[in-house]
Amino acid sequence: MKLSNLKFVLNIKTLFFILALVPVIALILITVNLAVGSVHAINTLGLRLFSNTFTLGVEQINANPASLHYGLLPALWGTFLVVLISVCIAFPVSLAIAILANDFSRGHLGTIIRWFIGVLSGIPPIIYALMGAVFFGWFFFPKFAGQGLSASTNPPLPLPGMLPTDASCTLLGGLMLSLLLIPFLTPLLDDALHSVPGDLKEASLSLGANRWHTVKTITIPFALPGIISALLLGILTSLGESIIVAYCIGFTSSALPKPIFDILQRAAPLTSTIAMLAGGGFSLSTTVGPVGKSVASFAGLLLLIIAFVILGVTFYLQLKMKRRLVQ
Amino acid sequence: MKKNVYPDNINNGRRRNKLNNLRVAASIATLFTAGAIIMGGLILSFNSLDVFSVPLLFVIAGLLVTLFFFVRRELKISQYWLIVLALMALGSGVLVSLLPTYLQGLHVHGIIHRSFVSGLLLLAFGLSGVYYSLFYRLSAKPRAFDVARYPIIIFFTITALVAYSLIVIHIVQNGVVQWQWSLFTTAFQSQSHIIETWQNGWPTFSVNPIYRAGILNHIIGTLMLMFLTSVISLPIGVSVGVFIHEYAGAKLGGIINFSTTALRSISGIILAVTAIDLLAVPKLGTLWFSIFHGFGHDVNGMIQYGRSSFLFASAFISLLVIPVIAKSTQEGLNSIPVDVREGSLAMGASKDFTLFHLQLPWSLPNIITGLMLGCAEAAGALTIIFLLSGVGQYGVSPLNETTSLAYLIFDIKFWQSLGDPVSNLKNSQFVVAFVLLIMTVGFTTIALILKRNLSKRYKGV
Amino acid sequence: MITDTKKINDQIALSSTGRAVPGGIMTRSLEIYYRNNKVIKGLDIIFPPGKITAIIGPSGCGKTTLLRSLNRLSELTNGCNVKGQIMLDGEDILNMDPMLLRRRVGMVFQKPNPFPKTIRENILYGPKALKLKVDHDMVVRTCLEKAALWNELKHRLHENAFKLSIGQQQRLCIARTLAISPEVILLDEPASALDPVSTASLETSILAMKGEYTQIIVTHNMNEARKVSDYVAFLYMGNLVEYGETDKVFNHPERPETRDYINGKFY
Repeated sequence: MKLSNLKFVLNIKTLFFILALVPVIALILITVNLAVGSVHAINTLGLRLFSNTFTLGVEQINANPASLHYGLLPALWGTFLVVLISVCIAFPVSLAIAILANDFSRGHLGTIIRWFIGVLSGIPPIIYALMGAVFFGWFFFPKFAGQGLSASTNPPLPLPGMLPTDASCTLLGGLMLSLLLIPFLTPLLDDALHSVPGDLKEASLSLGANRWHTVKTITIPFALPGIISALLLGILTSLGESIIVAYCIGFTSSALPKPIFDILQRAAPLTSTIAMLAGGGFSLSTTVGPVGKSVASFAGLLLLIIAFVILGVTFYLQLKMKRRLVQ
Repeated sequence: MKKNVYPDNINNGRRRNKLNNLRVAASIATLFTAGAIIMGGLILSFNSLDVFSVPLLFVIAGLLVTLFFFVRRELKISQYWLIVLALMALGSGVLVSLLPTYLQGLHVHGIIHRSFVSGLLLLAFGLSGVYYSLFYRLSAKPRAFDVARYPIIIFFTITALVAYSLIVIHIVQNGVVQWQWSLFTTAFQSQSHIIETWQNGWPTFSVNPIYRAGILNHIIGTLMLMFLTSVISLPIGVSVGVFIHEYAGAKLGGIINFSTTALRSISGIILAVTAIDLLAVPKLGTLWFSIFHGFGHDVNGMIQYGRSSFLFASAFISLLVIPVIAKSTQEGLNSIPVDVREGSLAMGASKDFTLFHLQLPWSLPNIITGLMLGCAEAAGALTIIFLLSGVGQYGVSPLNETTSLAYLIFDIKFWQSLGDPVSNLKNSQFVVAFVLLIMTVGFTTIALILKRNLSKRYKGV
Repeated sequence: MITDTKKINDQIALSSTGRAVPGGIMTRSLEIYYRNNKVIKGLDIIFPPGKITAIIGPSGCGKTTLLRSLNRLSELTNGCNVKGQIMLDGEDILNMDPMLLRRRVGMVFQKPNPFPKTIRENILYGPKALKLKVDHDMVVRTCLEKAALWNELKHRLHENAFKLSIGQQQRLCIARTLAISPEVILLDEPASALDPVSTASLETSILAMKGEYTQIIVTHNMNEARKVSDYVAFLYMGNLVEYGETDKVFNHPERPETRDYINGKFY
């Protein structure tokens, strides 16, 4: 090859090196961009960025900062609720499916399950978002809104204004998000359980223990770092998902829901709030001023930091796992 | 007749007939509780079946009590959990019958129908009932432990299966009903054609609105995104994989690995924010502006600028796809046996030669698998481009405005951006979803089939 | 550097036309450390050109480490440190370009490791990697003949190498090494994965290559050492305990340790 004859800098290794640095440079640029962009918001709003009110409106030029309400607390709470709901639903189901495929299946059942889940993992989030609207009408509305309400009941039922309208509530977003998470988590958990050496399981079974006992005392403790890192990755994924929540919950919410754990209200998470602020008037006639755009960068920075922390913990766990296998 | 004492619940084969009563009772209980589970699921779906929940709960309680007595007589153990469960079932039955049809005043912004509560209760007691009944149906042999827990695990799997099947069936059903072949052959257009006519020696202009409903440009747009993303991310992804595996030390490799995974894990919306910031950089009228924003010519020949071009959007989507390809490359490189590589080096072949003539050909199927998975991602990628896309009516080429099927689905809900009642397209969002589903799931399935065939590949002695 | 390559390539070109130029290896005060353990302690040994030398000894005494240091494959393992001198025809190996060294000192591994390519491509891999100007067909035929595979495989050259039996794969690995015309061939327990029939064919090939190539065989099978080699070196715990001609060492060993080992009193 001509390239390897040039014994100077330009050889294949350097080419690979330059290309391999692209993700690193991109990540650094993104972080710096977010940090720089949020300076304006921090200067203007300071700690009021964490207040409880969030209103979108046209910003007057040189407006008094006290009149701008860009509190991110509702958005942070929304993120917490949505992640909690989706992971609490998706994790046990994924774990059950993984245990089924690994320890409790005979013959080809495990392979069939894995194929099915693998095919499902290709479904893009927008489909789940679309189905959210459908599910609502079919499942939620009869149960949570009530049909055929009338004031003639005793005691009178609450007015229609109190009920979740326009097909969006936090529970719906969390539910759709958990449907997205299950095909994502199941292969990870499956790998973690699969990596337990077969000899250990066989030794336990040959001592007369039944399968459930083996799973409980041998497989799961051994695979625990893998399970935990899968859980963290699941949290990371649901943290960053914005299409489903935008579709099913809405873009922004103006304050914390009262009562605070009311999942039938709309608590829009951070991701859709960012989408609203950065979109600069997408799909609505309001325009977002410079402070708003800067708040979008700040919120993005918050999200980035949370994601980095979780990612760091995951990497640390994976490192510990590798060391254990080597020994 | 002398009664036999059974040590440790082991079923003495000769005593099989004496346990007949227990087995019959347990069989009935199993069938009933299984039916209760199904009923619970149905009640959660249809409000009107709520009437059956209370009687069912009472019957379950009764069955559990009966089971308790049979177990005590035949197996000589007092399984008090059965009594506890029976009491709980009884209590919930009473509770449900006392509840009004609609519950209100709980800390929720709305009212809950009673069937939600009764359905969940039925599911819970049904599951526990099935567990115990199956256990005693098999006369509490050690094997019964596993078999009894089986339904609990299967239950979760089946629920998930049902949910996904509902989604797929709903989309396919609605998509097929609204299917129109014309949608696939026409590109969407909503423009006004200004025609200049001459009358009495003076030019007059009349406006002729052109409107065509179709998704052809969206389909080509999706394919264009897939193609451009592959072109950009393949070299970079393979380089990352090869570099980490072959050349990098622990620290540098760790940094690159972390950054690549981080790009995938941080939310897509962050990439979208960065993209929007980047779009604001070039000034109108410069070349970079055209390249970044994408432009096209409308019916009248006027140049129209879009939100972003395909090149620009693909550059950002490839940041998501690079980690997929890098991971697949690394898997491929790791799977080559160490002594085959050493055999090549022991002959005096250089590292580069070994890489290009041995390791990369070996890893090629892995790389292709990663590429297909990446294409599926690019087709479904919406988080990054939903603020950057348009309708694509001015043409679909790398320098035109971004558009894709995923964006169309999203747009149909928030259609105000089109500024035009896209009535025909609005009703056919399921057709669009169907097509998108076929594309993404198709690519993913092919990638999975490739992966399966990889493990059957000749791997050596 | 360019002149070195040209010289060696010319030399190899000469060898592949049939005139062999075997080289001899000599070590002086060779010490090999593996993660701060001294595995080979002060070894002085000569591997005469054109002859077959066997290195025998119990497991773990450093035989394979020694062998791998002779073509500097030991550098690929982390934590391996080589000190001292190893001379190939008077040139210090440790100062040479490792790639050039490996063209002159080939290796056959314990577990056959053919490339996932056709038989013909396996043999031509070396010449292609080193850009040797040789007649491909002639090289394939010559090497397979020397490895006693030509008659079996002459009609199957385009089959995948993995379809061969283990014995054939190992001989293919030898043929592949011969294609680059090395001066020295290192064999690391070449018959340990083979059945007796394949072992016999292997031994025939090794004996046939005597004179054209210097061969150094590591083995823990003493029958093999006795049958095949001209010289024997007995290594124990990293030290060279005895060295001499095969007949002399096996029939009249000087050291008691050698006598015990040959009579099976070790392990």
